[in-house]
Order: sequence, then C-alpha cells, then structure tokens
Amino acid sequence: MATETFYYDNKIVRNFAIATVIWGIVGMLVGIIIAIKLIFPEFLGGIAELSYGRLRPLHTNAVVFAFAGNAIFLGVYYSLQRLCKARMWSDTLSKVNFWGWQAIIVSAALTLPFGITQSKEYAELEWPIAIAIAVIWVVFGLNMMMTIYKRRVKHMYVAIWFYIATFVTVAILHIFNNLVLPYSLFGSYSVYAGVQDALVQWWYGHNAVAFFLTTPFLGFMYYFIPKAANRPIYSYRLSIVHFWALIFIYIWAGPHHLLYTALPGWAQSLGVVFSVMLIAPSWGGMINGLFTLRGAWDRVRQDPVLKFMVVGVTAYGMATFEGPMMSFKNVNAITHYTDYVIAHVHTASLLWNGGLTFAMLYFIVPRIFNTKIFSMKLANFHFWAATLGTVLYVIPIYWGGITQSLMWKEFAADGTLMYPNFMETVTHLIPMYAARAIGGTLYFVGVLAGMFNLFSTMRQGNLTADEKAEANRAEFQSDTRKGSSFHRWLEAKPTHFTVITVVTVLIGGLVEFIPTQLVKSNVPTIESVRPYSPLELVGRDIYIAEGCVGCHSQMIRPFRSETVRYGEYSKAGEFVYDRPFLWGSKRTGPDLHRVGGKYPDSWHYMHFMDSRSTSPGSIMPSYPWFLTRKINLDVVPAKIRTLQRLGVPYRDGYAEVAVDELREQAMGIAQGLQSSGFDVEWDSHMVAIIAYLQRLGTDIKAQPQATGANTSGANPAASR
Amino acid sequence: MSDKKIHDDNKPNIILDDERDLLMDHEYDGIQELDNPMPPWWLYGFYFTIALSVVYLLYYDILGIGPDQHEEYQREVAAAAERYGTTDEPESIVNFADLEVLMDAESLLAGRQIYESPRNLCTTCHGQNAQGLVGPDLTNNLWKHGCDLESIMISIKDGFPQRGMPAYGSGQRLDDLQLQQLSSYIISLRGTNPAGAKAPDMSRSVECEI
Repeated sequence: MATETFYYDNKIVRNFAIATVIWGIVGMLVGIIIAIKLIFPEFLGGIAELSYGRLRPLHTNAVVFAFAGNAIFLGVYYSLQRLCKARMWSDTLSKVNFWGWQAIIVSAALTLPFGITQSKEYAELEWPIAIAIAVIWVVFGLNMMMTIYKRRVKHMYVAIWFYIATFVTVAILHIFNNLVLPYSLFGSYSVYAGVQDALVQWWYGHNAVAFFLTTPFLGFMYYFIPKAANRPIYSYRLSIVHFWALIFIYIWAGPHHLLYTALPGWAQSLGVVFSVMLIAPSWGGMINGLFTLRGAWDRVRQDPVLKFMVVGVTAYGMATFEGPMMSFKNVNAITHYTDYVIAHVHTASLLWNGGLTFAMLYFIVPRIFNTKIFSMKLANFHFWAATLGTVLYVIPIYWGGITQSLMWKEFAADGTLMYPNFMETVTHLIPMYAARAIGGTLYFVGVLAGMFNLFSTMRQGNLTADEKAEANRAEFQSDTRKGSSFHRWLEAKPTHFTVITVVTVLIGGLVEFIPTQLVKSNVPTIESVRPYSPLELVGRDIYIAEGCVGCHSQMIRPFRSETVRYGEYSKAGEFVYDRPFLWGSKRTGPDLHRVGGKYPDSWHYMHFMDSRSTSPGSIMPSYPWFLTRKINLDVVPAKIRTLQRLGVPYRDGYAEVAVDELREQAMGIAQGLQSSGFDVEWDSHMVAIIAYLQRLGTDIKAQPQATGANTSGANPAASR
Repeated sequence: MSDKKIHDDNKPNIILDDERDLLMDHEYDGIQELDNPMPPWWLYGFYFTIALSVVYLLYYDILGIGPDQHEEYQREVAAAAERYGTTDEPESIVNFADLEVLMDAESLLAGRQIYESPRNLCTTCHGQNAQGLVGPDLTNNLWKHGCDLESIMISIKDGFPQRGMPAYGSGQRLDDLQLQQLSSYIISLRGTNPAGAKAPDMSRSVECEI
C-alpha cells in the first residue's frame, strides 16, 4: 500500500471566497435599496433601470446565484478535495467554473435592469444566459464527479451525497424550467402555458430552494460542524434515512406555492401532504447537526464558526417547520401573497445560508492563509449584527403580513369589505417596512465588518496555494457486498449512487407534471378566451420587462373576500395563452387579473405618470418613460410566428398583418387619451401597456361568439 | 513554512464515555461517525406525518369527502347570503324623484364623509374637492347626465361602467339615505371654484340649471 503525496488546490477556494463576499455585499445592497423604495417610492425614481420591478429580481438573483452560488463552489471545492483525498480533477475546469460563473453574474446585472427577463422567479435570466448557466453547471459537475472517481478514500461521506444530489437535481430543474422558444436574442416565450407553466415554475422554484439553498448547505453542515467541534457525527443511520427521504419528498412539494389557485386540486393536495412529510427529513438534518455538538457546547461560546453554524442550523429547523405549516391550505390562505412569505424566506436565507456561508469563510480563510482570524471581536460583532439584524428584519413583516391579510379579509357588519380601498392596507404597513429596512441594514453592517475581517485575515497571512497532503490509495479491489449493508456498498459506487439519486428526484416531478400536461380535464377550456392582440402582447411583454409581477398577482383565489374586491375568481382556462404565466406570488399592490375595464384609459395614464394622483398614499413608482419609449415594431411578426409555432391559434399569415392591426388598435387608444387631454404617441409603451391591462380578465365576461369565426385570429376589439 | 500549520485539523475527535461502543470504524478527513439510533420521537413523528398524508389524500381527493376549493367557495357565498341577505339587490321602493336635496349640516357632513371615504373611491377620479381628475369637475354647472338630485343619485347608483365608473363609484353598495346625503353634498359644492379644476368636455356636457 503506497502512500501518495498530492496537493489541494487552495487558490480556487480563495477565489470563490472573495467572490462570495463581494457578491454578497452587492446583492444585499440592492436588497436595501428596494427595501427603501417601498418606503420612499421615488427614491432613485424616474430611472427605468433602477425601478423596483427591475431591481427586485436583481436582488434575488444576486443573493441566490452570486452569493450563495459562489458559497456552494467555495464549500464544495474546499471540502470535496479533503473528503476525497484528491486535488480537483482539472485545474482548467476549476478556472472555467470560476470565471464562467462570474461572467454569468455580470451578464445578469447587465440584463435584468434593462428589462431583459423571462419573469419566472429565480429563473429570470434570458435564454442565452440560461444556456451558459447549464454549461458552467455541467463543468462544475464534471469536475466534481471526476474528482470523486479519482478519490483515495473508498467510501463517499454523507456531505458528498448531498453534493451529488445538488448537481444532478439543479441541472434537471434548470433545463426543464428554461425550455423556451426565442423570438430574438433577448426575448423568448415559454413552451408551457398558464397552469402548466405555473406548475413547472414552482416545481423549479421550490426545488431551487431545496437543491440550491438546502442540500449543498446540509453537506457543509456535515463537514464543517464536526471539523470545527472536533466531534463525531451523531448518527450515521439518521443521515442515510434523512438524506433519501429529503431528496425524494422535496421534489413533490412545489404546488404548495399554488394553493387555492387554478392548479387542479389533486396537484395542490400533493403539494400539501409532501410538505407536511418534509418536516421530519428536514429536522433529521438539524438533529444530526446539533446533536453532534453534544459535549462541545462550551466551544460554541468561543468559536464564531460554531456560533454561526448553530444559529444557522436552528434557523433551518424553524424555517422547515414553518414552511410545512404554511403549506396547510387554511394557513396558506392567510400567508400567501403577503410579506409573511418574505419574512419566512429571510429567516432561512439570512441565517441558514448566510450563517453557514460566513461560518465556512471564518473556517476556511484562516486555514488556507495559515493564520488566525484577524479580529475575534469583529467576528463576534458580525455574528450579533447578523442575528439581531435578522430578528429585526423578520418580526415587523411577519406582523405586517398577517395584518395586511386580515385587513384584506375583514368584512363590515353589513357584509361589505371593511377596507375596500386596497391602499388602506398598504399605508398601514409603511412603518413595518421601515423597521424591516433598519434590520436589513444592521445585517448588512455586519457583513461589511465580516468583509473587512476576512480581507484583513488574508492580508496578514500567506496563501498556501497548493497544500501538501498524503494518503494511501484505498483498496478498491475488496469491493464486495458481503459483510456490509447495501448502503455501505452504494457509498463506494458513485455511478450507482448518482443514477439512484436521479431516479429518486424524477418521480415526484413526473407524477405531477404528466397528468397536468396530458389530461384535458385539468384545464377546462373556456370558449370565449382568445389569444392576445399584437398590441396587448407587446403590452404584456412590457409588463414582464418592468417586473410588474413582483408586486401584482393575476390570480384571484376563490374566497368571497377576493371576489368581492376583485371580481370573479380566476379559472384555469383563462390562462391558456399566457406564456409565461404571470400569476405572481406577492401582492404589494392589488391583484390585476380583473383590472380590464375597471378604470378608463385616462385613469391608467394618470396612475402610471403619478400613482399618488389617483391613489393617494400609493407606493408604486412613476413610469414617465412609458411616454418616451417606443414599441419595437420590427420584432412583432417574429413574436407572432414564435407563438404560432407553440400552438397559439393565430390564423395563417397573421404575422404579416400583425403590425397593421397593432397600429389600428393603438391609434384608437391614443386618440381616446388625446381627446381626454393626454398627449401620447400611439407607438409609446404607455398605449401598449394600457391595452394589455384593459384586456386582462375580460374574456370570461364576453359572450361566446355565435360562430367559431373568430378563433382564427386575435380580436383587437376585445380590449374595449 | 508551508508545513508549519497554525491549525491542526487532525486532532483526535472528542469521544464521550457513553459513545465508545457507538463509534464506527470509518473516518473521512478526520470526521468520525457514531451509530446512534434515530430518535424515536423523530421516527414516529415521521410516521405520523405519512399517516396524516394518507388520510388527507383519502379525505379530500380519493374518496372526495372533503370539499374542494370551489365547493368551499360556494358554501362561503351561501353563508354570506344567509347572513347579510341575498346579493341580488331588492328593488328600491323609494322613488328618487320624490326626494329633496338635504341642506342641514349633519346630512352634508355625512355626505362629505361618504365622498371622502376611501371605501367609496369618489376622490380617486373626481378629486379631493370634486375639481375633477380622470372624472369630470363636479362643481360647475356643466353636466353630462343631469344635475338634479334624482339624476345624480341614479348616476352614482348605476355608475358608468363603460366609461370607467363602477356602480356606487367603488362597487360597494350605498343605501338610499347615503345616496341622498352624498348627492346633496355634491350639489352643495356647486360654484365653489376649487383650485385646479378640470376643463369641461364641451362635446358632451350641457349647461344645467337646478
């Protein structure tokens, strides 16, 4: 048995550490900016690229994919090499992984503020970037899997199981949720429409949380807690059971984002029960992390690594109990669409993802730089700022979310809404938004201190770029199932392990998706629903580009409090031409599904120019650029043709006349506005978005045409 | 230099006395594992959620005993109809033509409160002082649908949905007395010349005298 000498690549770990910290600062700063915009809507106002709707996805993408994403690579590149007793398989792939990922982040920052977006939450990036993400993710996975194959340790430790599950599942989720048909370099339509699109998106969206923000971090918990505490893992058996249960059950739970929507009831029920069954597998991880600290709690008092770990794992336990509770339909009826969800998310992301990331940084940086943490005091300050900042952040908007929801639902003694004006439920929340911004800023100050501390640590030490290590090559020949359990055998078989993981995570998605796609009764047809006219389509794309969906839902739930406020509840058949779906998940402003025809065009004009003129107290920003920006008519035929290819029943040759029809409809709206004294060009964004809003939710009211003659083409007159 | 390490990550794990028999014979980068059994409360909790899920699916979906969301909605609407009366408005027995403009301060204050209340949305289109925003100025003598009490009451009651004004302004019903108070208040504003009054749409307005 020969002892081999090799070198861990610490330089790549250092690079990911720096990227994690810097993108964390950027992403959280954008978060603070949009938090301020909710209090002062004209803060940085008048600049389209810095408007709330466009910055919100930049914030989520930056913190999820740039901050947590780089943290994932940081943790995997550090721990995998050591768990495998091997250098990363290819230094070139490591570099491609690093620079490719940074390029993707920069391209996100260069597209989202300019309105280039697919609008699906956490999958906003347009198709060229989505393809780049897939490529770089596979580069990462290939590098990881090859390192595993070249390992000098026979069995794969539990952390590696989680890394494998992360790699394969994120790849599957990302590819299937980004299936789009492009109409230009910067635009595309989803291959799924309406209900199906919603199901696929939240299968993705929920499991982005599961397999991007949970499984890799559980792996880190399994590596860094025992390392930092010098304690053995509490239960090997528990780690097996909770790993497989977690990845199998998680994938089914996506529909809990769509309770009481037009999603078929059976799919909603699956979302409910699989969320409830997820409590134990999630808590299995928490238990294994916290019980590992048995006998080492005195260390937790001293070591910032363990402090961040313990608070992070505890927050994970709280969030994974709260999540299933919010998946009960009667609880969801209250929490959905409110800031409660934002508070829930930030409990988990600030403390679990943020906490574990900073724990890793405080563990790794001094080690690879062969020095001590620059300042323990500062690290402790960072820890307390993070913990108290999070508490200050979440409590006001937990409170605000429930308050707003109850105000929406309250009826007066005569059976009418107590707060029929949505605005009352918004202005009530402003003090809570302010408190939230203060909490977030405190967290951010902690991160700034952390950055200073980590960079000072780097400066006072010297990077051991290639760290020497020795190991015996494990005896792979003795591979036999005799005398050991099946799972023990599997732990030595990366290929088998990966295949079984893929099968495990595919089951839930397939069972939910295939019937929704194929069984017609799941989306009952509504005869009077027609495709969008070219102008409405252009208006819809403006709605998408501006990120309206970040604050406005288009999904009225079947509650009396909603039908009285908004009108008839939304039906699955109304969304068959919605690519992508725009149901939304948050009502910072009111639902818009039945806004069509509710106000005159001139009301919308005034509301867009200054929402406070028509709705005193509104926190919607002004959109003066709607008047100056012109519709790009050149791309309209390509949009129509793309939709035809996806099966939207525009008549043959409609693409050629689409611009003419668009002009005719736009002229009508523009003339109407002009006669009311509002100066507007027919080809401005203003006209298109008004056309779209006036169409919303009106099809269901239209009498079905006597003949089917109109099914062959869009009906521009439908908007009035 | 590179061999001298400040951090020794290969210290032996701390093993408590009662754990020695549970320690497994493998280690990964110095990490050892115990073979503790799964905590029973955790395991039975897991079984409980699985059982609960089976019951849930049976109750709501497979056997269809529990209501689906559409049935829930119908029940909610039915319960509200029973509690608050039917949603179909009974025909007004009051003939608006018989009513007179209310002049007393109390009625006008009530009318003003209705006008300014966010629940009725009057101000969002006609302005805080009825000077007109999206909707017309209500303080001059140029009217499209009549300026007498009866006409105004009918205009408010029915709204002009095609022009953007829902019934009662907000769709929230007002009773006949409230309608009378609101209309009287609007009439009382005539000639107040508020600042920023909207120019009248002469193509559709006619001079109106009371």
